[in-house]
Amino acid sequence: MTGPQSRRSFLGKLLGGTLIAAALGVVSSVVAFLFPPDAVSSALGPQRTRVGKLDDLPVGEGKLALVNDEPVWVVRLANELVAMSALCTHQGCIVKWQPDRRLFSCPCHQGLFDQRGNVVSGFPQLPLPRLNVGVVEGEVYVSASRGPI
Amino acid sequence: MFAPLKDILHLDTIRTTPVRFRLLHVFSAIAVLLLVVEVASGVLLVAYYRPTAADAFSSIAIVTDEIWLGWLIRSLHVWCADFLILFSFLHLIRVYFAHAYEAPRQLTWVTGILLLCVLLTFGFTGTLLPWDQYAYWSTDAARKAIAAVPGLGTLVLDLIWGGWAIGEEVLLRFYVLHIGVLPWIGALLLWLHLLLVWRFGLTEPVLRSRRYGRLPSSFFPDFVLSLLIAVLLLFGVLVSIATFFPATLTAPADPVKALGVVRPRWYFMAPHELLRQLPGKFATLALLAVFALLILVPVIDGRPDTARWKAIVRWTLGTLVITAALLLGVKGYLP
Repeated sequence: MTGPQSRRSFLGKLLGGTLIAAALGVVSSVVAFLFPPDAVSSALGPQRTRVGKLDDLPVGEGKLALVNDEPVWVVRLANELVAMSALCTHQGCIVKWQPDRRLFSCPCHQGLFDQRGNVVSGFPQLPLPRLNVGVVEGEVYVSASRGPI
Repeated sequence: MFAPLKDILHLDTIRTTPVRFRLLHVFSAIAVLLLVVEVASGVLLVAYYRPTAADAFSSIAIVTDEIWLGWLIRSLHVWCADFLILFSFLHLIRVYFAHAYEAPRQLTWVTGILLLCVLLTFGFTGTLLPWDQYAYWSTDAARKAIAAVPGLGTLVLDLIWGGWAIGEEVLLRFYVLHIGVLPWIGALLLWLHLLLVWRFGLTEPVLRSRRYGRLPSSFFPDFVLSLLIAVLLLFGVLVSIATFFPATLTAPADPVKALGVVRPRWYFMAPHELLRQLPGKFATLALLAVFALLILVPVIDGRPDTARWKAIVRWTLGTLVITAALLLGVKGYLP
């Protein structure tokens, strides 16, 4: 093997290796791009509203927010967050969260809903519509899309 | 096991490149490669983009903020579009001054001009898609500018806008044009353009009577190697710019809250300024005249002769148009 040939061979391998490394970098980045983080791939979707920081919402407390001009309650339970429309399914009054009783009460006709929005007593026949809620980097988001009832 | 690529394409046997100006010849090849990057990044963005007024902005915001390298891919898409149009213009200028549109390359020139129009339309439709304030109000400014064009303006607005004000319908139309219609037209024109380039080869951009004592270099590996170096440098610059000056996203589009000063993309600045400075009819006539001249250049000056007065007219006319475009562009950026 002569000198120039071995140099050529070395440079060829160097170029080939660099190209393969660059190609692997591009392909792995593209694959990573196509696998969204959990928060994005969850039902939250792109149409979502930031409600506030999770740390500012103690367990058992609720926060009233506007999502697409509709009042929404976000309540932090022991192990999960729940979000539901704040409009009573009876006459559309805005229900209030009572942390001590863990109930939503309607000031208009005293309808009661539990912490997940199910009817407990009173005139309402339907539960409060649930919305998807999630946490992205410490921020609580509510999606306008409806969650499971 | 496999035949080398150069054997399959007969790269080293049938292709040569001109003796001089090899660097300038690289512009077109770079534009094609930028187009590949543009298509690839565009396909990736489509995976997350939602073409509705309610979701468009937030889907882009999510790509930018939360998806792995999403900000870089979007920035590359935006910057690459600018570079692509810049290199297409540089290629056009080179071909013009090299008199490379003469017979038998007239059709190559015409397909190139049409391809440039398609690229500009890509840029125009793509600007609206992020659905932020700049997207909305710059498109609205363009709508007003087009509406001021007598006769043609209303026709274009009805055809592309559907007669609507900017809203979800227009967004959807632009999206369909951007990813569903223009790519096919562009691909067809590019295929035809490259086919003609391959068929007729590259021109020697110097007077034929002069000799330089060098033989034309081969397409492969000489030209390809130069191209590879240019591409690596360009991609280095492109990725650096995309990293240090990432594509911005202003507030979500708000049809009530108008932006103060909205400037179009740099490649529309000259016609935009012309429409602003001259009355609608004159500006339209001037724009149509420039476009007609561009298309008809190979018809007017298509014969391969080396008359000195023709070269002087060509250089004067070309320099005048470029200078006017640059001056108008600069004026548009002045406060």
